[in-house]
Amino acid sequence: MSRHTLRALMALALLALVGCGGPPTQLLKEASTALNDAALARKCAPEEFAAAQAMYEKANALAAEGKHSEAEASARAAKKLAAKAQQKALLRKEECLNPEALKGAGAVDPNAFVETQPGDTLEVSAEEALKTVYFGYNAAELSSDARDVLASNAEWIKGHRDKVIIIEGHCDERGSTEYNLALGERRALVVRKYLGQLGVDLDKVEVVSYGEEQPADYGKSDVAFGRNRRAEFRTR
Amino acid sequence: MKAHIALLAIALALGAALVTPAAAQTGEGAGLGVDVNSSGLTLVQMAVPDAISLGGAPDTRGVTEALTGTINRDLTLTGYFNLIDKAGFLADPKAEGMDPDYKAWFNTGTQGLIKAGYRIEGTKVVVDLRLFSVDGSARITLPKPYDGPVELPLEPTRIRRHAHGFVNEVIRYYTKAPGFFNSRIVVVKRVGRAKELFMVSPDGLEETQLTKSGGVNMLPAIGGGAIYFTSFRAGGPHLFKLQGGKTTPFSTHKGLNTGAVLSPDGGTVAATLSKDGNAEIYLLNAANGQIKKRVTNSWGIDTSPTWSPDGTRLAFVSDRHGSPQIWLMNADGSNQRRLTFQGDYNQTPDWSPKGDKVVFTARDERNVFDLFTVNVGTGQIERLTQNQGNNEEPTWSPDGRFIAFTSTRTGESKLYLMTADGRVQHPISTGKGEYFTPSWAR
Repeated sequence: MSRHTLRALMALALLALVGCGGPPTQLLKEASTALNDAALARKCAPEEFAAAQAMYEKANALAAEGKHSEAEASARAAKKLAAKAQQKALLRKEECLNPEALKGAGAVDPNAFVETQPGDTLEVSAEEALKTVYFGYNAAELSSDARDVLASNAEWIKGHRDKVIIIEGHCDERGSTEYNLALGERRALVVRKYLGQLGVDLDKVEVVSYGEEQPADYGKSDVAFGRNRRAEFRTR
Repeated sequence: MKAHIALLAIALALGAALVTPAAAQTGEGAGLGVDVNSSGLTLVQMAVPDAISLGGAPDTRGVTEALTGTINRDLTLTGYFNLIDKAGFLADPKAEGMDPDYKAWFNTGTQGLIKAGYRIEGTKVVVDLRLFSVDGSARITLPKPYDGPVELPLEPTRIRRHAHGFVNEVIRYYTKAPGFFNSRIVVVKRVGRAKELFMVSPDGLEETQLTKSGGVNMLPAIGGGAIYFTSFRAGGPHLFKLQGGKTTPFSTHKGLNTGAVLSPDGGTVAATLSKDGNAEIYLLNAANGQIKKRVTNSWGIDTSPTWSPDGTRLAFVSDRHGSPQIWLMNADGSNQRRLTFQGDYNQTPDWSPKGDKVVFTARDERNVFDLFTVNVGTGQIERLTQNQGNNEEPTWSPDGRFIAFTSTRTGESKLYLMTADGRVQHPISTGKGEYFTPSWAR
């Protein structure tokens, strides 16, 4: 056995000892205190404060499961996050505690006047949220634009687990009816697979190919053909 | 030089297939009016005077058009005949009645003469169609019911069918094999936003709408008294079977179920399913759609199978080498090999009833679609269409001597007919709207 290996083993043993050295009670207490000290952050840096609080809860949970070394790391992180949140809150204190003072006379928030159309819902509808992706001629590869669109679609899908998502594959009119049905399916399957890689639960994601049967644009130009080579989303 | 030899070979091959009684004759008038079409084929000079009334009521129902019009149109579509201009007739068809003055017709330069007569009696019409060999100075006896007067209902459709049958026999007389004018082509037409199945006669004059689902119906194939087709009427693309006026689901697996084609023995349907992840070719029981066997297994798209006439092999489309190409395999899935190596977009194969060639659609370097044949044995490619819009979705006639296909040469996608070498091409569809994926009953 080489000296290096021996050292490595000893280091591991030490780590194991620390890991089994009981819950990080002291560190948890310190994190809790840091959160209490960050009372201003609760109001003026709420996101940062929530993150610190979540980390503290995670540390407690890990400690309860006996994962002491992980609990220790989380408690340390929670303490740091709490301190950061408080720092941020102090920077925003003026604006946060006395908002009108900074806006000036006659300040108007235009967003407050945007008319909500009758029938509009606050919820972004599936049709608006799930954007169509486009493909090259006889191709089923995802462009970087398509990947960006799918990343945003994936977030919406993850937040709507009650919905069944249907990916429709489409082609332009060139090429045979039957081959285009298979090509449309290949496009839909590529999209489905990518959603899976983005963490979407694929149990509720279905595909259907319409081949060249449902063009988005009935024109015969290259632009029209480009609009028709696509994968669209539908929900159920 | 090579092209000349090839043309000569084609001319010889086709010339041998066409038996013209006149060709054997020598002496007076030999060579008179002999024409040759672009295939190097000797055309039969044919005269078809207007049908004459043999008494009875006057023709108010288009009997003359249903007889003379149909015969002229059919003869022209085949490319086997040159129709003599009526203005050049030396005989008076009306005056001579149903028996010709052979000398007058001979001096007109015709070899064959078709005479049509009719007598309308109430709701019936007696039709008399006759073929004469002018250079042989004899009436040609055709098989019944085309050898003399026949009583028919006074309906243009029914009269046209009789005229088609007569032309089929005329073609048999001159070429040893009958014509196809009473067969039918199943085709898809756009109806508003829907696509529906239609049945069209090869001369395009008769159209029958088969489906009225209001949805998308496509890729029909006819065989064994049934039409198999693909439809979205129950969600995804599924296969349906239309028989005796009733449509029943045939294959409804998850994913694609498309393009069913019946084997020559009628027992098996080849189709594309994607239930196992991507498009693969399967053999299904023709009676109930049950899967018999999966015959392809590749990462790529495998689709559009077509049976060899003896049912032992299939040609199909695969893009497993990166682009869609025509492939061959044994009907059990063994011995899969690529058949086309030119071009990067070859689709819609249809195996000739004669067995030697597969006709297919290829996209050429100008992004235009044209029709080609590939010899199954040698892999040799021949171009059939060029500079005439997009030409797609070919389907062989039952005798393998003609090909129906769609073309956008006048704008909308319409139905066309051509000889197997592509040298004689005619539009056949007469209806409004666009036509897609014809499939000839055979």
